[in-house]
Amino acid sequence: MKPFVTGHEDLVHDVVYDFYGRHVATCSSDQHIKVFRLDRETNEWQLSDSWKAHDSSVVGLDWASPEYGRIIASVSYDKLVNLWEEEPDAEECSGRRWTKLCTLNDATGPLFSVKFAPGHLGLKLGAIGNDGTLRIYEAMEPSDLRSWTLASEVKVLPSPPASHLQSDFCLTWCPSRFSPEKLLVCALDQALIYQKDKAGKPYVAAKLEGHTALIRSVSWAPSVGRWYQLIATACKDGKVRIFKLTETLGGGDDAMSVDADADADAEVGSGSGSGSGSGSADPSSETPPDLKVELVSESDDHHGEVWSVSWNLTGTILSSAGDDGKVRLWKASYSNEFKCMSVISAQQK
Amino acid sequence: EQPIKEPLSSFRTEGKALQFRMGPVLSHSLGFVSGKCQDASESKLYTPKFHSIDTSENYKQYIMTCFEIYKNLGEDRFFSVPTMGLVNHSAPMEHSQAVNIAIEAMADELEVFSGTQRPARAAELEECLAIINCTKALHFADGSENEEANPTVLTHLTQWINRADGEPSEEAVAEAFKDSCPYKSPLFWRLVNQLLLRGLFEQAIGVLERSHLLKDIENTCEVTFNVLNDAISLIKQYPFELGEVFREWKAAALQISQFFVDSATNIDPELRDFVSDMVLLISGTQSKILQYSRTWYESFCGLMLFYIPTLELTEEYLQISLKAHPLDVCNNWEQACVNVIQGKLYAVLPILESLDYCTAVFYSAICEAKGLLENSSTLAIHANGSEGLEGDLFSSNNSMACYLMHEFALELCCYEDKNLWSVGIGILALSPSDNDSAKRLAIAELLPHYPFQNNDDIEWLLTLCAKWRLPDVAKTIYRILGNKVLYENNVIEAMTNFSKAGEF
Repeated sequence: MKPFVTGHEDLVHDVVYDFYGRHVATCSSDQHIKVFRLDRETNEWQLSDSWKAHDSSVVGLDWASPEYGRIIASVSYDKLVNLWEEEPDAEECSGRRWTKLCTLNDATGPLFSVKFAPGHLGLKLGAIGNDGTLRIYEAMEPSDLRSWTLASEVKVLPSPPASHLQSDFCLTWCPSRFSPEKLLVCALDQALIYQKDKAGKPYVAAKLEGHTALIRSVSWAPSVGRWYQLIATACKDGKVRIFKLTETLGGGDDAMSVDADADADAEVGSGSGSGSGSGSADPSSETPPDLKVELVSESDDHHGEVWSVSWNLTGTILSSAGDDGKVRLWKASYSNEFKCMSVISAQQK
Repeated sequence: EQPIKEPLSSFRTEGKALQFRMGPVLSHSLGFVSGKCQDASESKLYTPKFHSIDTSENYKQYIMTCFEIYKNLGEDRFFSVPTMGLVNHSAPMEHSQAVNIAIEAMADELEVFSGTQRPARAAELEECLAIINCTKALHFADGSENEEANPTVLTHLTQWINRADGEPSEEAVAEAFKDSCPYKSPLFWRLVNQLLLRGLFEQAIGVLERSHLLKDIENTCEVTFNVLNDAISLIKQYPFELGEVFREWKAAALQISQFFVDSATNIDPELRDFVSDMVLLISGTQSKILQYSRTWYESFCGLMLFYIPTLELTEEYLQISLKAHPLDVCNNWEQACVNVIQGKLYAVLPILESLDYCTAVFYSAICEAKGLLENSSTLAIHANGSEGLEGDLFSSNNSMACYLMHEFALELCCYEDKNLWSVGIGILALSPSDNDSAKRLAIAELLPHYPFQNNDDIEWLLTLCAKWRLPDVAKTIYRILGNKVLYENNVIEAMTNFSKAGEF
């Protein structure tokens, strides 16, 4: 593997690409965010800027869709979501190229993950942390990125986990342009898909069952050319799981019925055991579709904890990295079985 | 350099974690270790080298040319057997010829591309070429529907085995000629017969002439001299055009061999046996063909050349050959070529895919156009049966070629190369799947990610939005453009783009 030095002075928590993959942002326990630009001539990453972003470890960040400008959101153990905008006139590596747009300070515990919704859903982001609450913020007016409103607040966990226990939280939005807004939130060992009901309130539309330990990472595949969705999870129980999510109109026989107004708290941990879920049974055109979840692949090839999963741009290749010191690439065959197509060793010989 | 430097056990106990992010551009994906590092220089991101991703210009050119070849097939991309309406009798033949030209062109391109590569990669591509050449010989010969094989079958057959396994080597030739009287050595006759079995007739005659055998026996044994001269003349006139001419040629060969067997000679008995073997071989004696061939494909080629050259007997020849000379399982191409000869083209695709994805894709597409890949409806049971009303790009309702093409098209969009992007979109548009709505949705999801750089690129994007009726995607593109130019302080143009996006 070809390395480049980030210059972070502590643990790197997250690495995210911009929409076109020409910039990458990293965040670290050293409280800094760094943005690297891909030099087209040399094909190497060059530091564009680095700045102190929070007063505690920065653990998650994300780029907004380029439809809304060059914006980064970051979350930290200091319980804050910070939004940053690039100032193209400022010099590179000056530490002033990214200016803070605003701070969102509703969380009552350290934050773990932040993700912008795909561009077609407007400028909005979701954040989750140790208080077990998913918060969705929306820009009041895309031309004024300093004003954000807390659009939804959903208690994913009935109570925050004990502080002495290990915890993990992550979320991912459904990237499909042709599927109603939904996002997957993972809190500890729970993976819940939220969809909006007719009143625009998020409810648990389905659960991804089977995780027996902390979910470390989750990735929703871009569904280019597919009529179903694929979601991958990386779990501390050593499994890489791939779930297939099918949307159907109206309630199917095998669908779990969930009252649209039910308290999300009640849903957590109340698993139906069938691994499937559904939305409201109202068949009107406004009704969100029912969701059918199937576990299509479960692999323990990493022989240990799996730390990350991520799909490629078109959702045809999944990568997973784990405690065996290897990166595995997975691809579906013609018969729709996921097979490991390549193994990249990350261990020095 | 690798991210994990310590043994895995201590890596884990230190609480470190290996993470990996796939970038929008696959080759720029990054791996990193989350963990306490001693100093800033230890905090690194790592770009892996993907074996399956070739970003070289030569490969891009190869992909583009293969696509052009496929695109130029036009309506011949589809295989159909007209059963009603006005049936044009010459149409199947014209279609066949068009597809044959396509596979020929693809093989030529692969040959050129292989020549630009390093030995290890070139070896993989040569294996692909062997498979294509074998398919070309057996399934892409003009008029192959005829009972009799035609000239291109044998020409392509010999081209296939001689390219796939370039024997005899120079060392073997040198070894055969190391004695002053080479024709007394069995090595010499092995060489001559091997050349004959491989259809290398000029070389075989050259070897015979270089040995001075004819000159040496001219005055000692008239019978052998005449038989050899006749045999050489016969080889020179080998009728690649086959049919009735081959039957006459074979009758002459049999006559010569019979004459030699019946005649008394004045040469060394061992030499007589060698000459006799050669004459029997060209007259199509199976035992001699099997005896002198070293591999199953030499036997196969020998039987096709000298026994009865017809595609109807290929399966029989193959079994005889494999019984005498088992295939080398270490060579990917040998197993694949056996499958090709048996008509099991589906079995070849995974082998080709493991060697070169692009080749596998266009090979399958052209084979499907030729009608060699059976219809998907006769294939394996559709998974779960819940396909939705329309299916999608990866539905098992589509053919295998469609599946490979769609996957490849999406893979090309992870290269950040504008030309490959247009090939990717082109493949989606031209693939034999008639599910236009799935194609449209896929293109709609893909287009905003197109790595545009200049106005021509944007024009291309917007043309596609118009062609595929994607107004919302066009608005997204205008918004992206608006923001881009706004960051470049071009406020007027930004406003124009925002207004086109319907922002005002």
